[in-house]
Amino acid sequence: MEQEKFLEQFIAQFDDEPTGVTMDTDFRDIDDWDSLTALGVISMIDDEYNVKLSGEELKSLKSIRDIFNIVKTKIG
Amino acid sequence: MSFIKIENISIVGISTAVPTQTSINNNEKFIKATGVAEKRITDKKICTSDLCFEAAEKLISDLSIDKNDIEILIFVTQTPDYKLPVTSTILQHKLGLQQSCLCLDIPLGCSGYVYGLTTISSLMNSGKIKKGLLLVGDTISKEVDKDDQSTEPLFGDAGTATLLSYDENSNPMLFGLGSDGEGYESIIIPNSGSRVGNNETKKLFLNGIDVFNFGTNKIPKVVNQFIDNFTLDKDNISHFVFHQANKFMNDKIYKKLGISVDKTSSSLKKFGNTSSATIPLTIVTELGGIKKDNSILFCGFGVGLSWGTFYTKMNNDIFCSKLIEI
Repeated sequence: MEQEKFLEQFIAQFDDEPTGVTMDTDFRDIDDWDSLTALGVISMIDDEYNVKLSGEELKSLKSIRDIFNIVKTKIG
Repeated sequence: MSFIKIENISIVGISTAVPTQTSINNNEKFIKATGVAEKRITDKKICTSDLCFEAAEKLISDLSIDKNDIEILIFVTQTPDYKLPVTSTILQHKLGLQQSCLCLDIPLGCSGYVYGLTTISSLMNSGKIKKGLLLVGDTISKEVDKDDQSTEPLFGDAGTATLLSYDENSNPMLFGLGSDGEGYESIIIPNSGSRVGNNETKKLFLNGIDVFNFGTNKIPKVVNQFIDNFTLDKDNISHFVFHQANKFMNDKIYKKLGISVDKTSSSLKKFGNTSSATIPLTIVTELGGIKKDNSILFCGFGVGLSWGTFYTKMNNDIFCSKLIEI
């Protein structure tokens, strides 16, 4: 699982792709982040990595790297 | 999962009533994701039972049914007139049905139409009851927080009526039902019953991510189990009518199931998610009826968490009344 690819897949969930986003960006600080984007990210992780992430799990995470790490752990 | 086969009962007709008042969504991103451009909402005076009453009167009239033959009425809703008594008895009287009519309320939502079909057809078959009336609907717009952008734009109101008949020539009705109460807090109106929580909110709460995960992971699995259990052929099913949760979730479920979108129907654009009413409403507004020899699969899923799948091959046409607006 590659960080670069994950970041691309994450950014692709926004209608207007945000600039200056890195793995350490707090995803809630991205301008267009909302509950629909969150659903897109959950769905992308399910499609691409076959990993289920709950609402509670996402709530506990801060940066894009945090999401990447939990997905990585779940893949095993 | 409970698999149930019920003989001798056919769906004869369906009608739907919606409020005239239209609420239009303006958020393009929301419309694109959910598919909901507008929905109908009631004013304070109209209850779910009023919508279902109008739907029932129209259907009974269109089909020239003798009200004396209706000896069972089931009302499926999460928005009853009162906490007590049940609303089905009120509807029995208002519709002028006999006192010999069995009345029952079922407080289920998204899966409610399939649970209602199971219950009414099972009782009708056991008692050889000539005609049954299944009234299903909700006015969830009254339960949402007007400032909650995840629920307010999504939910619309509708009331439906389905008439069933005892008919020994009908094909079997097949059902698969299940529940997962671990997720009961995913869709909930807290403090709306006896159990009081720490805060006082009484508005609908929806955990979008958990419901999405449930819908897109559990539902394809249970529908496939249902199809396998009854050895059905997915390719031979004419119409798939699923609960209208939202476009994003429904499309993903269809994709996982490998169902061609051409065989599915959606009423989300104009009516939103109408909770228990979505399946019959979609049949009325999008299909306008179902022809003899067509096979149909319905799947309701959501609040509970609860799900139900239904299949039959029609041995008669399902009549649909023209949409009623009140």
